[in-house]
Amino acid sequence: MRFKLLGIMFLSSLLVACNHSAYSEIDTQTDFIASVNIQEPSIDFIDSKGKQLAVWPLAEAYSGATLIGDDRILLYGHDLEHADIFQLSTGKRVTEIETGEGTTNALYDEQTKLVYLANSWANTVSAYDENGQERSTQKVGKYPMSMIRYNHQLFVVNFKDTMLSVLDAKTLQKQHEWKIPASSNGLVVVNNELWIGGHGSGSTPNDNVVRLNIKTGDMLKKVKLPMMPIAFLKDNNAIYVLSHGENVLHKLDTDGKEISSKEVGANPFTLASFSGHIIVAGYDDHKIYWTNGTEVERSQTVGTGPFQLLVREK
Amino acid sequence: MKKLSTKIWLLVVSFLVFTVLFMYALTNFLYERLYVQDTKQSMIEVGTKLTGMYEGGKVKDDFVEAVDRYNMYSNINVFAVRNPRELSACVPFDIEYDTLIGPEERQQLLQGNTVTKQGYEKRFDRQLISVVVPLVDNERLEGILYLYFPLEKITELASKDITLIIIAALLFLAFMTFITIKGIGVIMKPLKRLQKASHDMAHGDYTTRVKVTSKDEIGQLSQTFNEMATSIQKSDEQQKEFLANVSHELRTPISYIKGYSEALANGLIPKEDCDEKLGLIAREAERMEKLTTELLQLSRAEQIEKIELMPLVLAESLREATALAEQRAQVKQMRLVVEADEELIVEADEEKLKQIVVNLIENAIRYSDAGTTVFVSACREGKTAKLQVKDYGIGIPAKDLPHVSERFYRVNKARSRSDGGSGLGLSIVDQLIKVHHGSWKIDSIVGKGTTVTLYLPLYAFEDM
Repeated sequence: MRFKLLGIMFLSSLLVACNHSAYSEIDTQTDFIASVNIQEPSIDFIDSKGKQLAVWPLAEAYSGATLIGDDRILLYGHDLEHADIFQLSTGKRVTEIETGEGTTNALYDEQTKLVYLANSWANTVSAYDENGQERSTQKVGKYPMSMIRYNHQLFVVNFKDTMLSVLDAKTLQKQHEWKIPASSNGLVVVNNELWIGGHGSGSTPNDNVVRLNIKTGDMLKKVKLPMMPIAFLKDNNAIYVLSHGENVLHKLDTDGKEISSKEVGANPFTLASFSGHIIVAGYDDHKIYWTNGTEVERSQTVGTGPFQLLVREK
Repeated sequence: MKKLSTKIWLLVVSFLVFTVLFMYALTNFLYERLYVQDTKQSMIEVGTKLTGMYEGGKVKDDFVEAVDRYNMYSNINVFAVRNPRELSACVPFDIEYDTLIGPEERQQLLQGNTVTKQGYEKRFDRQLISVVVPLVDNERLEGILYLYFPLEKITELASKDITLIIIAALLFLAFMTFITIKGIGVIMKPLKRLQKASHDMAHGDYTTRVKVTSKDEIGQLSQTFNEMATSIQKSDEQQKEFLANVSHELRTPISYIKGYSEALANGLIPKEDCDEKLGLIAREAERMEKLTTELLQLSRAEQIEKIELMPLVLAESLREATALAEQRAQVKQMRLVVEADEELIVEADEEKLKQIVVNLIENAIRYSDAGTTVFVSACREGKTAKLQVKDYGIGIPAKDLPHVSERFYRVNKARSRSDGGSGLGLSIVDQLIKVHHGSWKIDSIVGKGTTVTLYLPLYAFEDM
């Protein structure tokens, strides 16, 4: 009897360990915005009406995610040695990538069909194909994190360094290293300019968005946006910048002139455009806010610590 | 092996050290419990009152200034913080900065809870009690009130005078040690005297005595020791006297036997006197045999610890004993009269009981004039049987009465050999009565006669 019970327990533990397929299926035809919550890891899938489609309670300590095409999602964790790719329509795990610990960010690029993973332990950026096969790796500065692909280049912000790495988007060949402030975070390309936000160093919060010439890396004038502008979104010729220190969503024109600003959420780290709305996630109040870019329309509660917003919109 | 005084000394000093340490721990505990708790409580109160000035929204300059003003006049240090960098707002990012509050504390504060901390704060480079009161509006941590109070350990408080305190504590310990050693010396003095006296006694000096100076346990012990020494001395003297008596009693018949037998062997005795001398030798040999038999009996009676007690009809035993002594009485033309209650049943050993009675009757016959009567009687007295042997003989002087049961004690030493007694009869009786759990006494008037009274326990029937 005792052995039988132990056997059942062992089998069920095996089942639980392999149970990556337990997540709900997401219909391939439905547009959604997904909130990746990291305090108690989970993902909320919400449709354009604000209806919650599904919640994935994550079994591992994932700290971020990125969509790969329309039906795949890659989940990574800073303290995990691997990243997992799940199929949304089945909820099942497709494959696993051995990343080693220290993954800080992932970016999927539609054009190159590559997934870029930044690693803070190895201080590298690695490129993988959609099946998780590694294509190339490039050593960059200390603690690579924010990434953006523009034209044929991949721009990598080194969080604990004072330089930005410019790599070839396909081969990851290093092309340039440009000087930027320490603790920089967040990137957007605006009219041949690269706008970079940041937290600031020591006890001084950063109040500026740095603008660089995207071809030469020359520093242009700064945009003052207190406090700690760290997330950007370009939408219909407007640039949205999120200052998490003051909980403010700034709306700027492409010259950096402020059109409006609005207090949104508690300690927001991320924003996204979905279904004609600008959506902001409050990390401390565990809510996402639906806005029209200047005013808050409604809010809804998600899992604890929403840190990323992923959008699938056809 | 350490001396007792050293052990006591060590015990007392350990107690002293333990007390000093305990007092230190207790003081520390009270300091923590009362002072620290009290300070924490008052800081929470101050912090909570100050948050009353916060009107919601961003923390404004005038609020920060008002807190700073309060800080100038208060003994509690307080300041307002609104810098999100200090409030761990960037937590999901790995910022290399030691923030004023940590991520867990931020979560507590977001829920509107006050956070209290105690211990070393790197920012202030000292031990602190700190209280963090949140300024929360719309689920946003807009700022905090940070209140702190330097927490000085008692050792820190006393750090300036620590040398003085240590010296004072050591001097106190040294003084107490000195007093303890002196005190123990006074207490141990009688014990040392006792130890010396015991040592002397062990080496044969039975005259040694201890001076009793107190009435405490040691005084009582000294008193008991003295009593023990007296008993041992007396016993030793009796032993010596007994040995002297035995050798004296045996030497007389031996010298008779030796003298006459040598004279007979050498033909120094005329033939017609030979029979008489041989008779003399036989009589002395018989006396020696009787003496040794009685010595053996006495020795056995002294060794008896338990005898087989059984219910006996006392009158019957008396008659049997009287019959044994009848012949000796007839020789002296004396009469033996027995008057006994036939219903008396005593708990006794039959042989030993007869021996007691025969010894007493023989003594009565031995020291009575011819033609007199010896009365043997038995009656009930309470729960005992009272047995009396009464004669009208020569009697015993009052001064000798307490000693008659001593071995070889004779009232009149001159008549020792003529009366045929060994001087052991009453000693044997005394021993045998003791093992029967009985008692006895002797009353006598010189020239009138002697009465020996025995009390033996009656047999206790179960239905009685």
